[in-house]
Amino acid sequence: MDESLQELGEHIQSLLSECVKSVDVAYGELCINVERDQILQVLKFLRDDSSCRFTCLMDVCGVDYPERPERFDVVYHLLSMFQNHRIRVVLTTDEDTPVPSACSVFPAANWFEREAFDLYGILFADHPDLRRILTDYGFSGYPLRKDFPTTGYVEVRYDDEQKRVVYEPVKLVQEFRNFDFASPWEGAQYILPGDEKASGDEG
Amino acid sequence: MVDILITYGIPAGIIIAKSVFMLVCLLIFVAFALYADRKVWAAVGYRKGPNVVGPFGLLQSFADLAKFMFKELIIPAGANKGVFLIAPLLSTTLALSAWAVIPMADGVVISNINVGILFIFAISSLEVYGIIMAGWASNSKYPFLGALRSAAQMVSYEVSMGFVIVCVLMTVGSLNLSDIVNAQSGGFWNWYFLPHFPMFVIFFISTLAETNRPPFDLPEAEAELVAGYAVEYSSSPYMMMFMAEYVAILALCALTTILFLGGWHAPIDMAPFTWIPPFIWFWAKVIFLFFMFAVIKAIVPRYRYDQLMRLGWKVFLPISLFWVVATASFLVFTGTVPQ
Amino acid sequence: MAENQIRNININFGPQHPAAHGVLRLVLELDGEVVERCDPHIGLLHRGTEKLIESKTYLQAVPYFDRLDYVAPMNQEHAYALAVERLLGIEVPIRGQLIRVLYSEIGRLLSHILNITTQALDVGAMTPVTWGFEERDKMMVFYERASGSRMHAAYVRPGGVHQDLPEQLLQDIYDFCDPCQKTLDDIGGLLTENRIFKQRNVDIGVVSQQEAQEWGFSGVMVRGSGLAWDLRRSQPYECYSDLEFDIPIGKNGDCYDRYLVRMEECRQSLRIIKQCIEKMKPGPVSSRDGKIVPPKRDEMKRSMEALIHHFKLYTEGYKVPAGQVYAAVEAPKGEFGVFLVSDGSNKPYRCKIRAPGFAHLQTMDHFCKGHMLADVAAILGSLDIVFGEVDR
Repeated sequence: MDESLQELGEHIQSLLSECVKSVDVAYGELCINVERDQILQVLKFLRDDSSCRFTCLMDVCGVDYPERPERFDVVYHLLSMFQNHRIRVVLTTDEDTPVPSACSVFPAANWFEREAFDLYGILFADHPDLRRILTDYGFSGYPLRKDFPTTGYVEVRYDDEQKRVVYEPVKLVQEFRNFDFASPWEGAQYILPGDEKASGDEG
Repeated sequence: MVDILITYGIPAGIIIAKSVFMLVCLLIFVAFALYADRKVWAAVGYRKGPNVVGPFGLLQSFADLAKFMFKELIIPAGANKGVFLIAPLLSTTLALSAWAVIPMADGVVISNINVGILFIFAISSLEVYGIIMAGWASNSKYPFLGALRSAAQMVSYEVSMGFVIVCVLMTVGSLNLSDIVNAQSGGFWNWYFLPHFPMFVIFFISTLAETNRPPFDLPEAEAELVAGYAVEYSSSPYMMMFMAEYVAILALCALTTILFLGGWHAPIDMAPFTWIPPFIWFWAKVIFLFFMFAVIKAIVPRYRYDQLMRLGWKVFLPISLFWVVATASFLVFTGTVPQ
Repeated sequence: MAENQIRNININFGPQHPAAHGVLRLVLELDGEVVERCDPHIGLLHRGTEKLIESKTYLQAVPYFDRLDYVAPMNQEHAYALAVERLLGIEVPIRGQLIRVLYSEIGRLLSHILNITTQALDVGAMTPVTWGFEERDKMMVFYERASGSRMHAAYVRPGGVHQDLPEQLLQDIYDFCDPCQKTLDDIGGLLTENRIFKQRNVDIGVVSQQEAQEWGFSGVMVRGSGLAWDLRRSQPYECYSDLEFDIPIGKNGDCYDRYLVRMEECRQSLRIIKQCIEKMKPGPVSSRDGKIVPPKRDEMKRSMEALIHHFKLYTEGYKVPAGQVYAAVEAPKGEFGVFLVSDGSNKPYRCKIRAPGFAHLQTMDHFCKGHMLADVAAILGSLDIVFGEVDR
C-alpha cells in the first residue's frame, strides 16, 4: 500500500515538478505540499491524469498555525473511486493572500471554501459566492483561528422589554477552564504553587 | 297581525327549531367524526390515538373545543382584519347550510326543495371562497399559495363532479334528492353505484379533492406549505375552519350516499334488514364512506400540484364526459328516459 | 397589469418548517410553483464542535461526535476512533471490532429507517413514520443497554469500545432482526409500488454519475446513481472484509432509486448484524494498552498501577504522536471523514469533520432548479440531511 502511494507521489512530483514542493507518505496516506498559485493546475492534473483520476473532492479545510509567517494551511482531500486511493494536497497562505478557488475544477469546493473563509478568514480568489456560511448573520471574527477565544465575544438573549434578540458581550458565570495537564517536568507553562518561593530564595 | 304570525311565524318557528336541532346533532356528530378519524389514523399507524379524555378518549374533541375557545386569537399585523375573520365564518356557514336539503330518511329533511342537488353543488362551490379569503387576508405567502392551489383544485374537480351528477340526474329525471333516493329503492342491485360504477369511483375521488383531503390535501400540504391557508389562524377561527372541513366532508359523504348508495334504503328490502330504521341505514352508509376517507388519509402520499391538475382535467373530465354521452345514448336507445 | 410588474415570489422555507429536517432555511424564488433559485442558509445549529474539540482531550472529544448526526451516533464516534487509532498505531481486538460493526449497522438502520419514513412523510405518506419509529425505538433500547444512553452513547472509544456486551443483549438483537425485516417489508409494501409515491419520486432530483463525482457525493447518493462505491467494501476498515453483504446500486439516480437503495441497505445491515453476532466470541473488547485504554473499574479498585493509569487517563488523557490522518467511514449518509491534526499533545490540534450532508446539501440549488415546490421537500428528504452534522 505504502509503496504504491510512494510511486504515485513520485509520479505526480515528476510531472508537476514546478508545483509540488514535497511529497510524503505517513500513516498510510499520501500527502503533497504544493505552491499556492499553482493549486488549480495541480487539482486539474490530479483529476484528469489517468493514473490519478481523483475525480471527487471530498473536503477542503483550513488549519491555523499562528506562529508561522504564512499561518494557514489549506488542506484538500481528494478521492479516486476508480483507482481507490486518496490524496491530501496542502498549501499555505496568510490572512491577506487569496488562494485560487477550486470551484471551477470541482463544484463541490463551493461550500467547503465558504466554510474555510467563514471559520478562518482564508480568502479564495474567483469564488462565485464567498459569503459566511456557518456563523450567525452579521458575525465578525474568524472563530476557528487559534487566537479566537473558545467562549467568543458576544452572546445573545431575548430581551423582553425590547421584544427582540439582543447581542451582549459574553459574561461568564464561571471562568472558562482550560486545564494544562502537562506534568511539570515535561515543561508546564505555569508556576507550580510554592515554586515562586523557591525562585524568591535564590534571588 | 295575528294572522301573519300564524301563517308565517309558526312555520318559521318550526323551521328554526328543526335547524337548531339539526345543527346541534350535526356538530356533536362532527365531534365524534373527528375522534373517529384520529382513531382510525392512529390504528393504521399502530398507535393508540386519543385515549385520555373521557372513556376511550371519546370526549377528546370537546376538550379540543374548549382549548381552542380559550386560546388567544392572534391576528397578524398585516392582515385584513375583517376578511380574516369573515373567512372562517363563511366556510362554516356554507358547510353547515348544505345540510339543509339532505334527506336522512323519507321526509326527514329540513327543506325538501326540488333543486336540492343544485343547491348542494352551489354551496360546495362557494366553499372555496372561505379558503381564498383566508389565504388572501392572512397577508402571508404560505397561506396565499395554499389559497391559489385550493382555488384551482376545487374548480378543476367540480367540473367532473358536475358531469357525474348529470349522469345520475339523467337516470333519475329529477333534481330532488328524495326522488333520487327513492329511485334506488328495492335492494342494493338498484343502487346507482352498480350501473354507474366508474362514476361512483370518480365521484368519490373528486369528493376527496373537493374537501382537500389526502391525497389531494395540497392547500394545506404540511411538507410544503406547513398548513397552507390556515397558517396564520389560531384559536376559534382555526377551529371553525377545521370544523367546516369536516362538516363538508360529511355532507359530501351524505351526497355520495344519496346519489350512489341508495340513501336510507336497506341493501336488501326484506325482513332482518328492514327492521333497522332507514335513518340508521343512511348514517351507516355515511359513516362507512367517512371511514374510507380516514383510511385513505392514513395510507396515501400526496399528489403534486401538476399531477393533481392532470388527473382532474386529463383523466376524470374525459371519462365523465364520455359517461354522460354513454348514459344519454343508452337511455334514448333503450327508451328508458325518465319522464 | 403591465408585463414588468410580474415578479417571482420569494419564500422562506424554514428555519421552522416541518419538511426542513431540522433548522434549514431555504430562500426559494418561485415562479408560480416552479423553483427558480434555491439558496440554503445553514449554520443555525452551529455549535462550534471543531473549536470545542481543540480544547478537550482525545477522550473528551468522543461525545461531540454523537451530537453530529444524532440519528446514527456511533458511526461518527467510529470514524473518530479510527483516526485516533491510526495515529496511535493500536489494534482493536476482534470482539471489539465486531461490536463496533454491529452498532454501526444498527446506526445505519436507525438512520435509513428515519430517512425512508420521513421522506415518505415529505411526500405526504403519514403512516410509515409511525411504523418505522417503533423499530427505531427498539434499536435505541439496544443502544441504551450497551452504553446507558439512547442516543448520545459515547460508547466507541479510541482503542475499542467502552464496555463488553451482555450475552442476553446479543441474543435480543439477534431476535430483533427478523421482526424488523418484517416491518421493513410492510413499509416497503406501503411505498414501493404505491403509484402516488412513485409519481412523486421517480425522475425527481436525478443525479448523474458525473454530477455525483463533481459534487463530492458519497454513500447512497452515489450508489443511487449506479456507482458501486462503498467504503465498507472498497476501503474496508474493521472486520468488514470478513463479512458477507451486498452493495445495492440504483440505476437512474432519482429519489425513487435512492429510496430503493436505502431499503435494500437496511436488509443488508440486518444480515451483517446477524453475522456479527454469530461470529462473536468471548474476548477483550478494547486494546490492552494500559497507556491508552483505562483499566476496568474493579481492577482500578485493587491495583495501584491501574489506579494511577485510571487517574492519568481521565484527567490528562493520553498523548498522541504528531501527524495528520484522514479517517473515513461509510456512515449511513455517506462518507463521514475525520481529519485529525495532532501536535503531539493530549488535545487534538485540529479536528475537521467532513460531514456527508454538507456536501449533499450544497447541491440543492443545482438539483431543485426547474422542479416544483413540492419536489423541494422530496429532494431534500432524499438527500438525507441531518443538521447536527451539516452545521457541526
